Amino acid sequence: MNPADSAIRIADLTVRYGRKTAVDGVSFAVPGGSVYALLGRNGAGKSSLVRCLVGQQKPNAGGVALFGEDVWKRRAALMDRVGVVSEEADAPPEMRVAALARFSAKLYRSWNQDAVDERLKRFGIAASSRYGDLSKGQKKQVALAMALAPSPELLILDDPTLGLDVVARKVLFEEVIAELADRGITVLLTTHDLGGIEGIADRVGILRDGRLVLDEEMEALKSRFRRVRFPSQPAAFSDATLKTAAVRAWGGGTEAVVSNYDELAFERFRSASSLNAAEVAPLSLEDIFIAVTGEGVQS
Amino acid sequence: MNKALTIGYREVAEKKFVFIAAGVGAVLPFVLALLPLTRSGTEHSVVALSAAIFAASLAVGLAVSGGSSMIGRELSERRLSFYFTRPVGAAAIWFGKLGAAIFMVLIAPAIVLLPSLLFAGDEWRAYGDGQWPILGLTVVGSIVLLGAAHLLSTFLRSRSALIVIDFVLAVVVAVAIPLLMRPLMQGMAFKTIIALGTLLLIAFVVAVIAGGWWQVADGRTDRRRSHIALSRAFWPILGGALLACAAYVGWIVSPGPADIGRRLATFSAKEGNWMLMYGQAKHRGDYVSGFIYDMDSGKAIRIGGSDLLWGGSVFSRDGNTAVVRRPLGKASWNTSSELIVYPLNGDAKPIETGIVTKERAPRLPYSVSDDGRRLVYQEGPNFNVFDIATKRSLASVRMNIEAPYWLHFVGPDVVRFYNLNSVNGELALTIYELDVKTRNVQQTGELRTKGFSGFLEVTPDGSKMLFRSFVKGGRASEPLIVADARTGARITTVLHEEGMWANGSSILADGTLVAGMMRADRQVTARFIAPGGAVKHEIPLGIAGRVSVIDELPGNRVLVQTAPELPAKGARTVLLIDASNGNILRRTEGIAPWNDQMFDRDPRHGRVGAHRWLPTYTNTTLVAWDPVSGETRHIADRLPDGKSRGELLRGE
Amino acid sequence: MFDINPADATPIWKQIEDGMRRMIALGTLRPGEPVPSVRDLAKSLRVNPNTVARSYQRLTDHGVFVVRRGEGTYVADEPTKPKQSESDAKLRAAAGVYAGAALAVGATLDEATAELESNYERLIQEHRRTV
Repeated sequence: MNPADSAIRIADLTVRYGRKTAVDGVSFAVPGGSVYALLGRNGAGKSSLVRCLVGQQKPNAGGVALFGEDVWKRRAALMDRVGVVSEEADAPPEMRVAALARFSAKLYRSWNQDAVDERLKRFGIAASSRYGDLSKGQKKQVALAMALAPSPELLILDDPTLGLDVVARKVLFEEVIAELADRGITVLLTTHDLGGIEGIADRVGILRDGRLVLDEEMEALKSRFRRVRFPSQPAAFSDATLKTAAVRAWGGGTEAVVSNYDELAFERFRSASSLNAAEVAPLSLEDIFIAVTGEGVQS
Repeated sequence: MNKALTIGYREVAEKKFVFIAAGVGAVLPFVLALLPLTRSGTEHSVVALSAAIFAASLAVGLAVSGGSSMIGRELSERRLSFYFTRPVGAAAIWFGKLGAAIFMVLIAPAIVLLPSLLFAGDEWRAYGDGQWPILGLTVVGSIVLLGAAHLLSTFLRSRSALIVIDFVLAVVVAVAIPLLMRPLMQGMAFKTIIALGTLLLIAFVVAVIAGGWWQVADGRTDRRRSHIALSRAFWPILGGALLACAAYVGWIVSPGPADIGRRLATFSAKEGNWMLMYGQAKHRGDYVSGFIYDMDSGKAIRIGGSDLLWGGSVFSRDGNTAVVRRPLGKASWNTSSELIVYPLNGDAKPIETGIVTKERAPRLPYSVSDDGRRLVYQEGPNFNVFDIATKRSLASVRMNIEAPYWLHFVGPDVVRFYNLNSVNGELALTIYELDVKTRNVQQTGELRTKGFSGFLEVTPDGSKMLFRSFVKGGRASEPLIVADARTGARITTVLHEEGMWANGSSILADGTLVAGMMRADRQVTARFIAPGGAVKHEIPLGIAGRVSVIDELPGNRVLVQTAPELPAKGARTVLLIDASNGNILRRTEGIAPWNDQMFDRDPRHGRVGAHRWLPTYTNTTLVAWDPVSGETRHIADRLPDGKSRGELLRGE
Repeated sequence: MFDINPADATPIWKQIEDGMRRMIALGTLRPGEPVPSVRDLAKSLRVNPNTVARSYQRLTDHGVFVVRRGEGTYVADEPTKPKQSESDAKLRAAAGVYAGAALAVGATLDEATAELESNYERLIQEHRRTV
């Protein structure tokens, strides 16, 4: 990946509030056209990072570049190419949806009102309704419509599924995927709810206590994690080739999470250790998250 | 610019209900006028008054709520992200919101006022031009209130301890401003104060606007950063304006005697060459500065300036001490002032007597003894004698005199008072003496004559007095009475002569009466009358419209002045006459010696000791003039618009 | 068509590739027919189009799909089956896993075989139905 291709490039980002460090030297890049999911429980530093991302917060160290330009210095110009869906940037509750669209349209260089109207119609949202009267799911759709109407190159979704039920979440991601498919935008989404991420994300980052403890392609991540169960007690998982975590007793046997699973290597280990057949199961993204962060997802 | 308008329009649209309230407020005055509570005929004033009240309350309410919600509330409620995630710059956000807030503050009250202005316009007009300044003040006040509300809401809502710094700075500013204005107040520079006040107000508004802009640009959505950014921009601008004002005030209060050029006033000591001078100086606005000035050496003591400086005798007769009032607050007739004693001719520092009087100055006389060691002053119904060196009161006696017209020390231990009263249609000049040692007051004499008021002059030794009463009917009927200054017993009475009248007069140290006599054909003479009544000399002075005796000078000489009758302007002639033989020693044209004697309560005017210079006006300058040698020394240039007080008083 | 199970161990791109191959093998997709566009497939599967694109790329690389310039992507006229040895290896690996799982739950060979058969049938039926 050519560094110049990154839609987002974050370098050594540090944010401190007094003595507390919310973001600690985080660096990663989001290539153009890809979907990056930044995971972390509440308080891990996601919101501070997002605020730096959209040029609202000045970091104590490091910086954020969108399309190669520093976002703190060039925020107003860059926001013409970025769509943001976030609870913080929500419209005022008394504002009517039509007024919101009219207002936003005047601020961008290009605006596709037809796309907005089509989306509103599809979801049964009346243009005269007040934003505050809409359901959570409808609010997200309106916000997404507003964010996509100026045909942005980058879409930032900050905790987009907060408060949404499974159906609304699915519908929201479908809209994003459709936009992705139609125009190939770059997407960064942050969340602490992992449902539905696996289908949409190309790349995953995990933020823990302000540090980026993982930054990897989704498929690679999923392919190297397995839960392995041995019905009988193995001698030990002493083979250094297997990276294990969360080793525990299980029904007379042992269970472990392997983080560098390779089919062939595992077979060799098993036969070399003269172990009987093992149960090997994949890990859901949630389980991987737990294993990496060592804590639960829900804060 | 467009984006700012978009944002502004949206902010206003969000508050549509305000316009509904304004509409109601516009209609309400008429409803009130129709109620049975109002008297018929007063509908217009009810409408006008209630509309004004509603409009003013709306303006204030909108200023406070608008100012605090522009940024402050939105920051703490995290609503600014709505703008920051869109391609709008900080300037558009700030000026859009600011414009909307100002728009509401101005337009909504205007909506309330408009119908009442149309319907009850006559009521508004009836207040004369008074309503426009009030309107202007309300508009300005609302904008200032808006700015203050914005500042406060940012400072408070940031929940940061930094507000302490802002508080301290605010206190500093609040203290600095009156400190700054005080010298101006004491110098009657009211126009300058208003100008500086306006400047500071403008600076405040500019500082808020610039501060808000920087706050949005640098602080963005971080509450604490926003607070810091606002303070960083606001205080230096305001502070800079304050410093500039301070520098200007420093400049204003710094002129020297040579700079005084307008509204000049001069009063010279009877003995010695010191004088009191004050007036407005070049390039210093309307600030009045004053000095005690030595015409011989040019040494000047700065004493601040205003008409308030004296209401007493100022200089001791030995010429070594000056006593002036220092106003403690705004220089006006009603302010408190302290008596300050200035030793002249030495290096001693001024003495603050601690004598503070609160009442209307011209009516409160004071006098200093001839040796400069004692003061007598009035405090309510009491007269106090005060020793300057020990700062102790030597006597305090109650005298139910409202305000004696004249008073002076006779020696260090006696104070004599002269009071004028109407008694049974006659004018009574009553004379009292206060003995400092016994603290006893007694009436020592009385002089009765016809008239409604009069002019008194006493010889320097306090033995004889000249009293000229003013009678209805004009100058022609004024008798000149020479009497004993202590008992009031008449010595000589000079009545008017048919076809001639005494135009200006004075009594010399030896009791000789000098009168300027004018005939109907404007022929003027100076007549010298011996104490017994015999005419010693009659000296023709030519044709003139006015004649006055200016001063007795040491060596038994007299200065007499003739001038054309008002309103004609023309050359004045000043003549120096030897009183012993009646010779005219010198004739000088085009100058006007002048002593502002309005508040001089010491009736002893003659100069008999060491004395050389008189403060004198030419057309373009103020000079010190030696009448005997004719020499002049330049003191100051008069400004083109600089009438002296004397000329203003004489109506020239 | 087919469904994608994001929770499955198999990467999504692989599931897509396998699904496509299955459809070709079952005759749902015939040689020379146009394949669904990346966009449409991504939308209908509700997966990231990049992932679909990756599968299509692999399928094109392996000669299963062919891209006709200006016209789109089509099933190749002679879609190459994976090399015998490749299929064998895959089959062996999958069978090894299945056998291990069956032994772990204590199933007999017959039970395991019966389970295998019924699943095979079911999958074919499902695919036939969704086309």
